[in-house]
Parts: sequence; C-alpha cells; structure tokens
Amino acid sequence: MPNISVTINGVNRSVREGVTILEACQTAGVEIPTLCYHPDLSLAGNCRMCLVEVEGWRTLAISCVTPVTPNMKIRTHSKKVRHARRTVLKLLLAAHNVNCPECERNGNCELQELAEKHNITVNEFQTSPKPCSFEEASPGVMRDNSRCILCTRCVRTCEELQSVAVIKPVGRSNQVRISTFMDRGLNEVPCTQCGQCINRCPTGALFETSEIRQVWEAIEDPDRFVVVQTAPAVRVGIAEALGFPTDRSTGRMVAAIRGLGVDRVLDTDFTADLTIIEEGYELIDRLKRALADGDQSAVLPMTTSCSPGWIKFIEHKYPDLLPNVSSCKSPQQMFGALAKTYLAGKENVDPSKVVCVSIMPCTAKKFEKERPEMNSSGYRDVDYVLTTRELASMIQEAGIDFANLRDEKFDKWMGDSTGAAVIFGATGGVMEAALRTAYEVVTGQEIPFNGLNITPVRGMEGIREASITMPERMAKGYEFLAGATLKVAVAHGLTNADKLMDRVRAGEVDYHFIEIMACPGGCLGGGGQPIPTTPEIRQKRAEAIYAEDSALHFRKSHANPEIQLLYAEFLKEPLGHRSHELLHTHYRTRD
Amino acid sequence: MSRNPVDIVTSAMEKYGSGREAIMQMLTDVNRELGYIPEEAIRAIAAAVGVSNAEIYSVLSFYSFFSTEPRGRNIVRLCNTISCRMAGAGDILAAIEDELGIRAGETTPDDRVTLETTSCIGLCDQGPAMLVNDTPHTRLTPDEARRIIAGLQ
Repeated sequence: MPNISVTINGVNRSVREGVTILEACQTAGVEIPTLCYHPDLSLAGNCRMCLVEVEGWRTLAISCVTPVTPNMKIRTHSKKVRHARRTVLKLLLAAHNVNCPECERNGNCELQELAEKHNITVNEFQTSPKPCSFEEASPGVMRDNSRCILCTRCVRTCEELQSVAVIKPVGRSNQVRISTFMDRGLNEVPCTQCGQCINRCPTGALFETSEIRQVWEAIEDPDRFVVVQTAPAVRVGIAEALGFPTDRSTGRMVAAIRGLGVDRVLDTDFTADLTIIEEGYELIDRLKRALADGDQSAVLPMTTSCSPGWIKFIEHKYPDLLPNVSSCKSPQQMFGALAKTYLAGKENVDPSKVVCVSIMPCTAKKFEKERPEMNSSGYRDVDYVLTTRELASMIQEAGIDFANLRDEKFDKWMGDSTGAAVIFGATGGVMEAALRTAYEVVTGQEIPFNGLNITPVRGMEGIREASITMPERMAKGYEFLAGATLKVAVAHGLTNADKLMDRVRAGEVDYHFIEIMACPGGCLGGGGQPIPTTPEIRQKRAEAIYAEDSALHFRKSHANPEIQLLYAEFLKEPLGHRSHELLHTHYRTRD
Repeated sequence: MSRNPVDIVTSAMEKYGSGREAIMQMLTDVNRELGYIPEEAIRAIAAAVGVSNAEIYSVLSFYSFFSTEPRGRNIVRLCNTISCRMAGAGDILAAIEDELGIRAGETTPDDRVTLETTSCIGLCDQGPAMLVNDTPHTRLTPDEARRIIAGLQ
C-alpha cells in the first residue's frame, strides 16, 4: 500500500495507508493508552481509552479501530482528549474492585498503570467498593469478576486463538458479565485451563489457582522431602517474570530455587528426554505395525501428548481421535511417577515423605496433576504445580537477589538434560527432538540436518509441515522403512490444532506424526508465563530456547547419561513393563 | 403436550437453515412454544449452528423476553421505564403484586402468571402500559390492571 501524509500532534508523518490511527501513532513513537486492544487479537474498540481528536470530526475517534485518511490531523493529548480519557479511566476504576494490595496483579496491572500515569488520585465516580467474587473450584484458572473491566480480551482469546469459546459476555447493560454457559464454573464447561486468557487480561480478573502457600508449608516441614522439577520454558521466562530482560537463566533459576530451601532441584527436561525415547519408540512401533504388518489397529498419525490443554481439548472436541494420541504421559507426570519410585530409591527416602513440586509455564498442568489416574507411584505423582509467575513471587518474597546469583547445577539422578529436551519449550521442539532420536534409532545415523537443527519444523507459522525421506540402508529390524518418506506436521494454538485435526478427521492429510501445543508459541507462550505476551516477546523467548539447545553438550535425548542409567537400572527397555506402569496413560471422552 | 426441545430446534433448522443468522429465530421458536428455553435446546442450537453453548447462552441472555427458567402460562410485562413510571406504573405494580400475591420476577404457585417488569415497550404516550403475553394494555389504572389479571386463565 502507498504511504499517505498525516499530522500527529502538529508533526507531519508519512504512514502506510490502511493502518489505524493507533498503529500510525505507535510507529511515530507517540504513545496512546489502550486496554481492550491486544496485538494477538481482533479489534474490539470497546474500552474507549485510546480516544484521540481528529480535526474536523464532531466526536473523538477510537484510534485502535479508525484507519488513517490522507491529511488527517490527529491530536493525542488535547484538552478534550485528556478530559475524555480521564473520565473513561475514572468510570472504569469506579466499576472495578480497586483493592490493589489484595490482587494477584498488583504491580503488573494495565489499569493500575494507567491510573498512575494519568495521576488519578481522586475519583468522583467511586461508590462503595465492589466485593470480590472468586471462583474457587477451577483447578488452573480462577476468575474474580469484580476486577473485570469487560474489555473482552479473554473472550477473544478463547474464541480466536483457542477455538474453545467457553467465556462470553452474558446479560445486558449494567448486568453484563463475562461468564460461561449457564453461568457455570470453568471446571464444569469445556475450558482447557490453558490460561491464555490470564496472559491477556489487563487486570486481575483472571489468574492462576495458587499453590504458593502449600509449597512454603512443605518446604518448612522438616519431615517432607521436597523435590522440584522445572519445565524447559521456565528457564527462559523466570528472568522476565522478575523484571529483567528476556534471557535464559537456567543456572540462576536452579540457585534461586535451592535458595528457597527445597531438598532437590531437578529437571523436567530429564523426563522430556525420557518422553522422547518412549514416544519415539511408540511412533516406530505404530509405523511398523501399520506399514510392515498391515495391522489395522495401529493408528496414524500419532499426535504428541505433552500439552495438557491440548489433551483436554481433544477429549472434549475430538474424542473419536483419541486413539491417535500418544499414550505417553507428559514429562511433568513422568517425573512425578519416577520421583516417588526411582528417585526415592536412589535417595533412600520414604516415598510417602516426598513432595513433588513442578514449576511450569502452564496453568493446565495444575489440572493435569489432579487427573485421578495420575497416581501410578502409589501416591499423587505430582503434589503441587507453580507457574513461572508464582515461582517469581516466591523468589521475591524470599528476598533472593536473582541478578547476582551464581549459576548452579541441577541435583543428580534426574537432573541431566539435553538440548533436545530444552526445545520442548518452543513450538516444533518436541517434533525436532523426536526426529533427532527416532531417525538415529531406525537408520543408525544422525539426522542429516546441519548442526542437528531441523529448521523446517521451527518458527511461528501456525501450522507447519515437513517430510523426511529415509535412506535405503536402515538399521537392523527397520528395513521396512527404507526409502520411506516420513510426513510430519506441527501446530500451536488450539485454533490451529482444531484446523489440523479437522483435516485429519476428514482423511485429507497423510501425516505420520503431529506435534500439538495448546498455547501460541508452545510452552514459552504458556498460560503460566510472564505477562504481558506479544508475538515479539514470544519470539525472544524462542531465540533463548534455541540458544540454550545449541549451548548444551548433549543435543539428543538418547545421549542423556542419566536416561541411559535409568533404563539400565530401572526401566530396562523403552515401552517395557515398568514404562507401561509408570510412564503411559489413557484418555477419556468429555462432554 | 408440548414438543421435545430438540424437535423444536430441528424443525426450526429446517425453516431457517443453520447459519448464525438463524440463532434468534430458533430461540424465538423454542421460547414461544415452551415459554422458556431449556438447556437441551441451547445445546441443540449450538450443535446445529456449530458454535459453543456459551455463545448461544450469551445471545439469549441479552434479551429479556427469553428465559432459561420455566415460566407461567401467562406472562405479564409491566413497563418500568421513566415515562410509564411517571404515569403511575408504581401503583400498577403494587396492585398486580397484591392481586397475584407474588413479587415482580416471580411466578404464581399454580403456574398461572409470571410477573416481570420490562424496559420500554414503545407505548410511552399511553402509559402506564403493560404486555400480557403478546397483547398491549395501555393507560392502566390499578383497578383495570386487577381486572385484566384476574381474567387470565
């Protein structure tokens, strides 16, 4: 599109035709306050924070939805604009439960920040404070509508990014609320607990169900043996959650968690590597049965199973495709099952004393650990799940000087990991890790990509596909794959997953293996990650993930020395008897 | 004997199709036939149109003539907007509540009448006004209102 000339606050600017006033101002470095606007979502134009004055117009313009026109004269902080904005802000604050010290988002709230920036100290519209209206029953995502400003970012997130659409505006006029079918709890509707709504809520109306108190109590109880596992995406999110620029900070994260007083700091990456072995062998087994043995019961494509939001989504929406899902538990649940069996044995502690705490970029993990079948160790496999944000809050409460910590290493037995495990945190990572191992198992050779970087499955495109042709010479027992072309696909964000599964259901695609992550960007964009989130922020986190992969000595899951020890001493073989008991699971149809 | 809600939705779909624009007509048919919109009907409409249950609930919750709760055989909607109030709607409400022994928003125990107040029904020049089922009654007096209510079967 050609450029056109506009005037912003008296300065001539050349901007692209078709952009909105807001975009034109942002490009020109002129800040306009917004609330309902979000770069990941469609435009709503309902909050009226971004009003600007356009010369010759009778009314103020909603800058986020108004396109620029040639020679438009825009004023972003005229008396009229400032007055309108302050009024809008005061009205929003008057309808909001302004009990900031009791709010999860105190210090990271867009409404609070705007009130501060606009110096709203007296609010003539303020009436009696609204009481809290907590929804307590939901395992991962909580709501308090007394803090809601009806911007509908959550509604748009749920519908547009996730195709879940369980939250909607309900009622009319001053009775409008963001609610669910028949005003039920989030645990009684097909909510996936992905928490993407939390990441986009400008206030504290949506937040995770916290387990900080329970974790402190476990740490403070001398009888309990607290074992912490940290997911791949946490190490690229924790610095951000503590107010530092996005960076990988694995060593400092380990030091900070140890500083909280836990007994062992271990790595979910260890069980990510284990997932790759088990899932890789499961894929090879399905391929063999389908392609070599003509076994009709071998279902392809196989999809990944590490994302609990995705699992809940498919259980609700595509129950007929559940046989396609890998039977592997997620790395979090594999870790829990091993922590109270294998690790308890190695550490010589009573498994009933072990408290397994996960640090996850995810809110759906809080739901996953509550699934009744997740008790194969004889105990609740995972006791508590904290989000990256909750961990940051504990580090701050403990007064740990994160910036000046020295790097520390994970404890042993379940602390080793590889680059293949780290990239689980980014969309495409599980696929890449699985291919690095599976290719080598069936061919006896490393996968022929420069530096093991399987770039076709990387990136932020919503659905990506790749194919890999096997050589003619295969390892013994895998000759049936000689010359075969393995077709794979990757989707992130449940709307993309939905599109892809529609095509699978219709039989329009002939993939063998599909990776699906519920959240945009994969786990690095998870519902438990630092707020805010934008495409740029997720890109930076992805770069940090791949930098961590490149920096690690071991890049392939099967090269993990502690994984090799685990198989030698405990599991014996992939897909073996103990694996089936501890590491594999089943799914169910949900309404 | 009223029809099954799912059957009503099925015949509505035959008449109006299953696009999003058919949602209001499907809801209206169910509401007219049953006097309310049961959960089963919401689920059936959502499935027919291919949207979430929450979406249909969101739509119907906007309209005060739609209800998700069963209501009486007759629905009395007294206008509660400013013109009718100034013309004496308060006295009318008191008279009807007294006549029926229920408050606005309630249904008589024998399911004969549901009493509601409503926003403007466009009869501001003839207030106080009310709708009894689909029939408007205007320039009401308390006695006239009692007489109309008493005549409902």
